[in-house]
Amino acid sequence: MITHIWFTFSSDEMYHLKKLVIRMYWDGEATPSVEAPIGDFFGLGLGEYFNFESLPLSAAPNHGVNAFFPMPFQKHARITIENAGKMKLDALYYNIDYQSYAKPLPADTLYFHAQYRQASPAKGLAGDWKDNGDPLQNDRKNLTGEENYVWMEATGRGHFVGVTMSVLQNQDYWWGEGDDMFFVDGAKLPSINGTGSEDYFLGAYDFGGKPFSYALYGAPVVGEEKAGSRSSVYRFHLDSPIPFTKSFKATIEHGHANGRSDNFFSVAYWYQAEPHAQFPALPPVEDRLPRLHSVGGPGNAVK
Amino acid sequence: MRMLQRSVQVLLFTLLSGAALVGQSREWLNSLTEPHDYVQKRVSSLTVRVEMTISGRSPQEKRLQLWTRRDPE
Repeated sequence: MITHIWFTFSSDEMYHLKKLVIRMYWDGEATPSVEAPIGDFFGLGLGEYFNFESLPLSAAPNHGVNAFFPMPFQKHARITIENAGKMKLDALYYNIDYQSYAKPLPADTLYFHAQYRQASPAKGLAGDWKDNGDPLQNDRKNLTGEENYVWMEATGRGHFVGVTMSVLQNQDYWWGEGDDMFFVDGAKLPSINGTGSEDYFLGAYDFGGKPFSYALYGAPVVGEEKAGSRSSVYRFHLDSPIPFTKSFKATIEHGHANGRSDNFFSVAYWYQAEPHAQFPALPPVEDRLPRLHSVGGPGNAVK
Repeated sequence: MRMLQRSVQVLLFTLLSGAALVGQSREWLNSLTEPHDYVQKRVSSLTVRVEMTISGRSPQEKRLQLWTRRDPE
C-alpha cells in the first residue's frame, strides 16, 4: 500500500504543471485509475505553484507537492509521468513510501482513483446579461443538473472522497453561485444538493475575498470578483465519504443554474472496486492551459 | 510558579490535541480503502423547513421559522 508520494520538478517551461501528466495503474489494469495533469492532481489547477496544507494533499516551499491518500494494490503498482511539454524536464525528484504486508490485503479493498475534468469555457447563458442578480440569471431553474460541470462519473461500488478545483473567470462578479449536486446509483434528481460553491467548500459569502487552507477544505487562492481572476478550492469528505453501489456522478453548477461561462479545472478523488468506467480522454495539452475565452457577459476580457 | 503551571498546561493541551488530530486523521485515511455500507444524506437550508422552539418566550414567539424556501436553485 502506497501511503505517501512526494514530487518536485525543475523546469523552465511555463505551465509545466499542466503539461506533465501523472497516471497510476493498479494490479496490471489496462487503463489508468489515476490520470491528471500533475499540478491538478496535487491541487494546483491553474498551472502555477502556491502553498497549502490539507490532510490528503499539500504543496510546500519550494515546489514540493505531497499526496497522503492511501493507494492499495495487491501485487503491482505502476506510476508514470508523461512530459507533454516542448522543453526537457530538468529534474524530477520523488519519494514514494509504501508498506509491504505479510498477508494479502482484504479482497474487498477499494482502489484509489482520480479523474481530471475541465470546461474551458463552461457553456453558460449567452446574451447581454448585466450581473449575477440580472433576472436573466437569477430566475433560471436547474432541478436535474443535466448541464452541470461534472467532476467525475463512475460505475461500480465505491465512495467519493473529494475534489480540488480551480477557476479562471471569463466574466465579472462572483463565480461561485453554483450548487454542488451528487447523483447516487442512477438517481435522476440530486441525492445530495448543496446551497452554493463557497458553501460546498465550507467557507461562506464569497470567502470574504480571503484565502484559507484547512485540513479538509480550503480556498488557498481567492481572486477578485472580475474577469481574469483566479481561484483554487478543495474539499475532502474524509469524515463522510459518499458511498455508491452501482454508479455515481459528482457535479457542480457553473454559476447559478449554470448561467456563467468561466473556466473550470478539477480533479475528483474516489475509491472503488475495479473495473472502473472508462475515463474521458485527456484534453490536448494546449487546451489544458488556462486562458481567457470570448463568451460575452459582464466584463468579458476577450471580445 | 503559576506562570510555569499555565505554560505546562498549554503545552500538554497542545500536544494532546495535536495527537488526537493526528490519530483522527490516520483513522480517516486508513478507512478510505474499506467498503462503506451506509447511505450518505444531507439536510440543508435549501430543501428543508427548519423551525426552532425557544423556551421562555410567549407562545407566539416560541416558534421561530428560520427558512421556508423549498425551490431547489
